[in-house]
Amino acid sequence: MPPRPVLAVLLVLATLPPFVAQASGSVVGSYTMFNRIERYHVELGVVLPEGERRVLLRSLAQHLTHESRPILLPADGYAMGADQVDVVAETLPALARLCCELYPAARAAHARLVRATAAGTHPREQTSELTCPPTR
Amino acid sequence: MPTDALTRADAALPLAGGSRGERARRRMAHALDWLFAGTVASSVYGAMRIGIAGIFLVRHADWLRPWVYLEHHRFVRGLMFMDTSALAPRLRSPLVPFLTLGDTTTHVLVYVRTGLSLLLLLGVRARITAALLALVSYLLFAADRYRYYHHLHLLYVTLFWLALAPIGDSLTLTRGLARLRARFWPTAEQPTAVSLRRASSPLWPLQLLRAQALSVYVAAAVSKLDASFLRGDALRELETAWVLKGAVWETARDALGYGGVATFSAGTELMIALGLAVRPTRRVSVLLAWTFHAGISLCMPVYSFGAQMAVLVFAFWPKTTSNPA
Repeated sequence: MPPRPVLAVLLVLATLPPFVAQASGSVVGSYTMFNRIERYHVELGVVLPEGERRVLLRSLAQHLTHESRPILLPADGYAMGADQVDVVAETLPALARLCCELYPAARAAHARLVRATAAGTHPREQTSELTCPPTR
Repeated sequence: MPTDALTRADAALPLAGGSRGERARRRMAHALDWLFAGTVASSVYGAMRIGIAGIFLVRHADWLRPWVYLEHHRFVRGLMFMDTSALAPRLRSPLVPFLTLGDTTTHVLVYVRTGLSLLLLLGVRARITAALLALVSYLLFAADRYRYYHHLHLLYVTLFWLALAPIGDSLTLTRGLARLRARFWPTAEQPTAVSLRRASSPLWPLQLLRAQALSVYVAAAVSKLDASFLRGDALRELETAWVLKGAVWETARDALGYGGVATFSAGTELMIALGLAVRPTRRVSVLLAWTFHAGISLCMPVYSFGAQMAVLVFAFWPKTTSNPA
């Protein structure tokens, strides 16, 4: 049997992570299964020399990973989900970066997530804006 | 790591005397010994290893497609995470910052993962195999946050805990072959079939697996204790989205209403956790948990979560010795 302090640490590691994850708002390891359903919508856009342009998620389909397609593609309209909404929220900077890479002339890109309860109440917005690197 | 179990006499430390800090330290030591000292039948570790490895193999590929259609077959073709067909520039959003894997690395790791899961099933170098399998799986998993699912996270974490347990002491290929040899071609040097059977193993790794299972139930229940869920809002939406369906769901909904089913599910998770924690209600709670997960699986797609919890909960079934818990 390992020394008692090691056992105490192992016991803490076996029990506390889900509660720490929930308290910190992290999806990973929180085991918050089906406790809420949200409606979410993603808008992408780039700033080109000729002006702003909206980028549809479905136009990015072939650049999306196999696992991200079923979660992101419906979000051009209004998608429903639980934990995947938090995953999308974490991805906004990466989506803006992808827009910059796909539109070499773009000066900036943004990714905006609108989420609300399934009934459409308590809407919240989250935006990631990125200045595209000048030389690409 | 020494695997000899503490005896009850070892655990019986004097609690009186000394300073307050000293007494607290002794009480903590006594509590840890009370919780972890003891032995359990070795076969429980072997059975859990086989259960988890079997689930792993099924969940990470579509081998069963010709015989049974499982939820993950919707998006898994061949080996899971093998599809790297997205064109460059590709959306990259790893769970762990800067952890991006190239296509070749991903493919190699998927093959390594598959090999390790087979070795784990057979019990070849079981503990190191479990640790490596957890590591490789988590590496692949964390390379794209869209791969995240609670049940996969649970599966990989369970592998880490199994790696601490003597999972290679029973129900393994090598022991099976050795027993066959000992039985049919006995020689003086060979161990006998009986001596190859390890009767008991230390309890402490099982207690950690049990602790993990309890924390999953309590965490899942606690996350549901909010007014919206308990009103049944989430269940109503899941039904609208055709996630909740089937005769079992309709019967439960008609009998209890959305709020009633929501309260029942959160309450049952808490009740299972409480029942498993206490020895007299342990086996009844194992049966309740299995029934609960079977019921959920009949109502909605939960991938391999129910099966994984059924294996984890099995940790509470065997009788233990030298442990007053």
